[in-house]
Amino acid sequence: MNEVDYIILPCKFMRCPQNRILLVNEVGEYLYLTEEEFEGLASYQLEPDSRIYYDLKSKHFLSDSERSLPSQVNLLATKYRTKKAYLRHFTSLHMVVVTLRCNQICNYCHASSKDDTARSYDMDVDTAKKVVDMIFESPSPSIKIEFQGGEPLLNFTIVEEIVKYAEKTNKAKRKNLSFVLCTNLTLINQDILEYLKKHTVLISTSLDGPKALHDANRIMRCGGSSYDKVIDKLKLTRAVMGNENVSALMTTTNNNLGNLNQIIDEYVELGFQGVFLRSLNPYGYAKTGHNEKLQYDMDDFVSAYKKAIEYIITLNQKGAYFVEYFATILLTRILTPFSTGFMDLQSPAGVGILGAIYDFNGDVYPSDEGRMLAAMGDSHFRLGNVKRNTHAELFYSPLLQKIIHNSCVEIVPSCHSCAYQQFCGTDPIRAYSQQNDKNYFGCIPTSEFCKKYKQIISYFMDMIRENDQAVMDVFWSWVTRRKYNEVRIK
Amino acid sequence: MKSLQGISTNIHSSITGVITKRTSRNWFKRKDKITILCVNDQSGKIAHADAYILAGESAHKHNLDAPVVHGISQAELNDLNDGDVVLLTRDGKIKVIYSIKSNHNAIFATNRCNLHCLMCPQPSSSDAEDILKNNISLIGMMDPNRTEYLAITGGEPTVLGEGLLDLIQECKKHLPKTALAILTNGLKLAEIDFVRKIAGVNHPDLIFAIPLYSDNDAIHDMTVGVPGSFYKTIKGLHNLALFRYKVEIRTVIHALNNDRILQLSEFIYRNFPFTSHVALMALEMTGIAKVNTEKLWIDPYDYTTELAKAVQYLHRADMNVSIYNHQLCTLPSSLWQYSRKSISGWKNSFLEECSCCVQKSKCGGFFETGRGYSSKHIHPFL
Repeated sequence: MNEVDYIILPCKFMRCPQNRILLVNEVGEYLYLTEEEFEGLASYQLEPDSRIYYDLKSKHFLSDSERSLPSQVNLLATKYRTKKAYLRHFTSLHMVVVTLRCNQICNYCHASSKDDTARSYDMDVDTAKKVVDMIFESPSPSIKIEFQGGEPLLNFTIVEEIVKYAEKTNKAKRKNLSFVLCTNLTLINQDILEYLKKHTVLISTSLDGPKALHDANRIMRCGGSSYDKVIDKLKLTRAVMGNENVSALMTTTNNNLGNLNQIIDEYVELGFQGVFLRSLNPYGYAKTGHNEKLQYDMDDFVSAYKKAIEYIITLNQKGAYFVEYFATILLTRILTPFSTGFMDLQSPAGVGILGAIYDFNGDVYPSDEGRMLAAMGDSHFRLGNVKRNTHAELFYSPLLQKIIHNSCVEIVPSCHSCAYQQFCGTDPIRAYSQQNDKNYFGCIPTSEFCKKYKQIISYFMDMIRENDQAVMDVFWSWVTRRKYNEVRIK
Repeated sequence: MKSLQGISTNIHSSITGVITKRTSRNWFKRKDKITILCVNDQSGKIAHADAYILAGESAHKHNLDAPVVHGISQAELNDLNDGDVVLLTRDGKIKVIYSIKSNHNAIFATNRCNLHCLMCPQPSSSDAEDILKNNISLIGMMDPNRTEYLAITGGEPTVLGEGLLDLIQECKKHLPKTALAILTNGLKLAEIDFVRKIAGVNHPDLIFAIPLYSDNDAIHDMTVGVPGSFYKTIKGLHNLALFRYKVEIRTVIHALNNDRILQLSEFIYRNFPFTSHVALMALEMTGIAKVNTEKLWIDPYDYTTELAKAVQYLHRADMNVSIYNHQLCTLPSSLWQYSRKSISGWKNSFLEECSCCVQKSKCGGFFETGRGYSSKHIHPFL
C-alpha cells in the first residue's frame, strides 16, 4: 500500500487500558486511538477522509500540506502561550515568615516551629521593610504577600508593618496587591479581624476534620483541644470577614488517611466550598524519627485519594458545590486551553519564578522546602539575603537559573517521553533532597513524586476516557466554578 | 426585507426617506432628512414632505408635485411606523430597509463577496456605484435612541475595504449607543493592518460574527468554495482577539459538516476560548443553497444527536451557545432552552399544521424563502 502524504507533529503516546493508545501533544490536546488507528497513523496509511484522520488533524497531531503547516504551527504557538501564561510575569507569590514561633506543635509540622517565647526568631522592622522593597522589585503586575510562620499572629505588629509599608510603596508602583494570612486562628480576635477586613487580608487556616482527627495531629503547646478553639474562632472570623474570605487546608497522615470522608463531611458542614487533599510533606518534624508513624506509602495515599474523589463526586451529584482543589488544577490542564498558576507542579518548576519565601532573618529561598532544608542544616537553596543582595543577585543567580533550566519535563529523563508531561511538572528541590541529585532531575522511575502524580493523572484520564456523563458534568463544574445543576443539561 | 406594492406617481428614480405620520409643520423644517409622509387619503391638508405614501385609491385629489406611492391598504399603511426608513422605487414598491420596531436591522453594505459558499442564500452580484453613499445616508436616518442593535452585512462587507471603515465611523458618530455587529467571513481580517485600521475607528461596541464550518480545512474550504479560506479565517479570528474584539462564531449545519459539530465545538473552545457566542444554525434553502440541494440538504432531525453533544460540550465549557433557525419539534426538549427565534420577522413563517401548536410562540419557525424544505418530523404540540 502506498503511503499517504502527511507528517506527524510532535506528541507523546502511551498504552492505556482496553487497548487504547493515548496521544498528547505539546499543548495538552489529547486523543485516544485504537491499536489499528495508531498503527495506521505511524505507518502513514490513514485514509485522508476518515474520521480519525480529521480528529488527528483537528487537534494538530498531523499536517498534510506544506501550505497549511505554518498556520497549524501558529495555532499551536497561540495555545502554547496560553498554557504557559503563568510564566509571563515572573514572581507573584511572596511568602513572608514573620516568626518561627508557634503556640502549636503539630505532629506533621514542616516549618520546624520554635516555642512561644523564642523572640529571636521574630522578623524585625528593618528586615520587614527590606523584604517589602525586594518584593516590589518583582516585575509581576500582581503581588500577593502571604504571611506565614510559625504562627504569624504571634508577631502581628510586623504583619501590620508590612501591610502598611506595602500599601504605601504600592501608591507609586500601582500593582495588583493582595494579602493572605496563614494562621491556625487560635489567637485571632475582633480587633485583628477588623484590621484584616479593612486591609482586605484573606485568611487561610488549617483544619483536619472532626475533633478527634484534628486534635490528634494539631496540638497546643499549652495543652487543650485546638479543634474547639478553631471552630469557635472560625465562627467569629466569618461573622466579621464573610464566608468567602476564609479558606482551610488539611494534611493527610497515616492516622487520618482512612477517614478522609469524615474530613470532607466536616468541610461541607462548616460551609467550605472545597478541600485540598494534601499528601504529607517529607520535611520538618514529619521527617524526624519519632513521627514516623505519620508516614504512609504513596500507594496508600493514592488509593485513599481516589476513594475521597469518588465520594466528593457523589456529593456534587446530590447538589452540593464542593471541589477538590488539586483535581480541579489537573482537570483544568486536561480539559481546558488555560494555564494554572499552581506553584508545586509546573514545568519549568514554579520555585523562585512563581513564588519565593522570605525567612524571618531576611534569607530568601525559592520555596518553603528549600527553607526547610536549610533549617535542617543544608543551606544549598539559600539564594541570599534581602539586606545583602540585589534582586538580580537573588533571582537571576546561577543557582536559580540552573534549577529552572533543569526542571523542564522535556529534558528530565523519563518525563521526556511521558504522555502526561503537559499535565504534570517537576519538583527539583525534592529531587535534590530525597534522591540526592545535584542536577535536580531526580530518578523518576523510583521517585515518590512520579508515583503519586502519574497514578492520579491516570485516574482522571481513565475517567475522562470512560466518559460517564454525570462524572464529566462534575468535572466541568469544578473547572468552570459552577454548580453541577448549572452544568448539567436536563 | 419587508416589501409592499403600490402605484407610483412622480417617481423618476428611487427615493430613500424616513416615514413620518406627523403632519405638524415643524417636523418638516428639518433639512437633514428626506421625509416621507404616510397618511390615508381621507386626511385633511397635507404638505411639506419630500414624498408621500397614501393608502386608498386616489393620489390626485391632493394635487401633489412631489413623489407619491398610493394604493396600499390601510392595514399595510398601519404596518409602517413613524421612524421606519423606506425605499420607494419607480415601479411603486415600498421596501422597508430599516424598521424602528425590529431588533434585526441590517445594512447591506455590498452585494459582492470573495467566497462562493455552497449554501449562500444570497448570490453575490456587482454593486451600484453609490451604494456606500446611500448606506451612509441611511445610517443618518436611523433613530439613535431606538436602535439597540445594527448589523453590517452583505455580501461580504470587508470587500469594501476603506468603505467599511467609513460605515463604522458613521455608526460611531450617529448611533453612539447602538451595538454594532459586522457579519463577515473574516478572510480580509487575516490582514493585521486592516484590523488595526478598524481598531483605529475606536467604535465603543463592536462585535464580529464569523462563520466557521468545520474543525478541518478540507470541509470548511469545500463549503466556502475557495481553498485556503479556513486558515485565513482562523488568522482573522486571532487578529480580532489581539485587539480584544468580541467575536461570535456562526456555523450553518449541512450534509457535509453535521457529523463533526462536536469536534468543531471542541476546536472552537481550544483555539478561540475568547468567543463570546457560538450560533449553530440550520440551512436557509434559497438562492445557491437550493441549487446545491443534493450536496447540502439534511433533515435537521437527523443530526440532533450530534447537535446535542455539541451544545452539551459548549455549555459545560461555559461557552455561550445558541441554536438558530430550528423548529422545536425537530429538537429534543433538553435543547429548547438554547433555541432562539432567530429568523427575522419578515422572513419567518409557519406551516399550516403549526397553527394548532401550543409551542408556536416559542418556536424558531421557518424561512419563508425555504418553502418545500422542512424536516419530515414537523408536528404540532397539542
